[in-house]
Amino acid sequence: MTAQKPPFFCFGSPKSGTTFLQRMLDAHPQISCPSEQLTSELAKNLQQFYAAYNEGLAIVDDRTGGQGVRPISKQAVERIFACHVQVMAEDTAQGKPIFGLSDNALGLNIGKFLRMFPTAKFIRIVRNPVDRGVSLWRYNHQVHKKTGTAAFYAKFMKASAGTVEGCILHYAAIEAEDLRNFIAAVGDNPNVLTIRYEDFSQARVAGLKQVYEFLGAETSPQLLEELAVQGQIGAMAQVSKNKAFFSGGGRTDFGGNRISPEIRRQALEIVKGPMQRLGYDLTTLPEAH
Amino acid sequence: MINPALPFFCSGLAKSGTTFLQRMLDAHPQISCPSEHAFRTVFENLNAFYDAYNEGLELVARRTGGQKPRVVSKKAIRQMFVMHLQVMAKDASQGKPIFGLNDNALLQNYALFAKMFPRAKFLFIVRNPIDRALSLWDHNHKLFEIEKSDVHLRFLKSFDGTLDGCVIDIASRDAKCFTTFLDAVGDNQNALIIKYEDLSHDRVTGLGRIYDFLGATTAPDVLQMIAAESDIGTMAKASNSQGFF
Repeated sequence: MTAQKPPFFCFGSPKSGTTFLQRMLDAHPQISCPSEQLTSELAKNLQQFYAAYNEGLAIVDDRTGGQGVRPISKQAVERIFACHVQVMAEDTAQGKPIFGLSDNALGLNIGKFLRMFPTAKFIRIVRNPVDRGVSLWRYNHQVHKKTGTAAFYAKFMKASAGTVEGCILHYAAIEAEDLRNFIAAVGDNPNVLTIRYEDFSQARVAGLKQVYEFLGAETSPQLLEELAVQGQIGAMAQVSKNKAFFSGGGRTDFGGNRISPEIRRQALEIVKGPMQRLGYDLTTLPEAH
Repeated sequence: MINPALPFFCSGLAKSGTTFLQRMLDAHPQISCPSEHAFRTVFENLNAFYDAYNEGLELVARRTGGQKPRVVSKKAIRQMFVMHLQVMAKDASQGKPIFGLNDNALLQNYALFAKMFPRAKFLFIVRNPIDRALSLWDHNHKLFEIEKSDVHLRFLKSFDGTLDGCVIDIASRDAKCFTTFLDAVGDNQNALIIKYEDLSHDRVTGLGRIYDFLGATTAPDVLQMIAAESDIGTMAKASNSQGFF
């Protein structure tokens, strides 16, 4: 990797507040964080391309005297990937001094990213599995209705056993596994910040301060107040072309009275271990709205 | 941090001695230059991938609140292409301090490469069109016999079907190609043009000039050793594909 200043990365499971985090970062005058990237697509393309390229090198080598080919190594492909990510972040920074990328899938490859970008900062946002499940359920119904991705919808419905409760429990189990892997990979790395969507949502100014400070950006009270206002769900929806995306309201009441206490109990039981390690107090739950 | 003067590049039209030049470079103890690359496929893949990637960004942005996506620019793609070549050359260098890559197609795109790698050194080998055409004729016949590939057949059918027609056609193409190429090179001190005939007739002097251009040692014993190894018969004996020689 080059000696350039690395980008920061932000991520989380879908419907954990990842877009909210990304927008709050990008809203800061010193920070660039454009809308969600798909770096796993890039990694897949580079691996496939270089596998074919190496075959091509072998053919040409054979045709030109057979001296023995030096294929592009896996390490080189990884370095090339890191270069791409660096260039993408700089390219979209619009001149802001602190630049990063958001990619929800990054959490699945956190170990690889920590190795490729050893001095980069990482921010993960987490959310309780009940509100996340409800939000996923609503979102996937909206997306299906709008874009008609029937295969995706069918897969989602099957995984959720056709109910919002099934959705909550299925994705809670995936989240629990993902968080356990994440915690194990990250350890006590000071370059990784994990924030809870609930905290961020309930005490926005304090949450923003924590995130901006972590990245070394300005945190003057006036700026924080201004950004906190912009970060209200209603304010974001008002300026958005896709208002339905904000229709869930960013709730943090662990399902409130929409979900039975038993489903809530089961979901929290599934993620209890990693969530407690991430600082969630599961002994008292917020009042149902 | 990769040295911006590296990698160097070597190129030439097919059957001009490009493999010979590449092998002579790679034979030097301080220089790495692996067998021929195909940069065009890297460039085409990058452009095709980012066209699709940018569409994906737009779709995701629409689905997540309708922010305006910041797509990956053409300038960034060119920057990534440069990095690909730098990483590829270093990766294949086997620890040698001076490393480069060979791609025959580069000569025809020299202006673009000189712009993308303003500090890199470029070596080009040229050969008279008659020997080049004869060699192309034989090479494609041999490859067609072995591989039965349409690529070679297309080449052989692109003339009037005779060797004489091939020579005239190649001479005409070379004239056009070299006019554009030489205009692009101008008096750039970072570009060295070598005549295959010179390198073949006085190998030690030719090798000394090339190595000196790249800043590698030109000690007489190194030059003598490499010149002896580069005899066509010696190279053929050590090759898996003796028909090439």
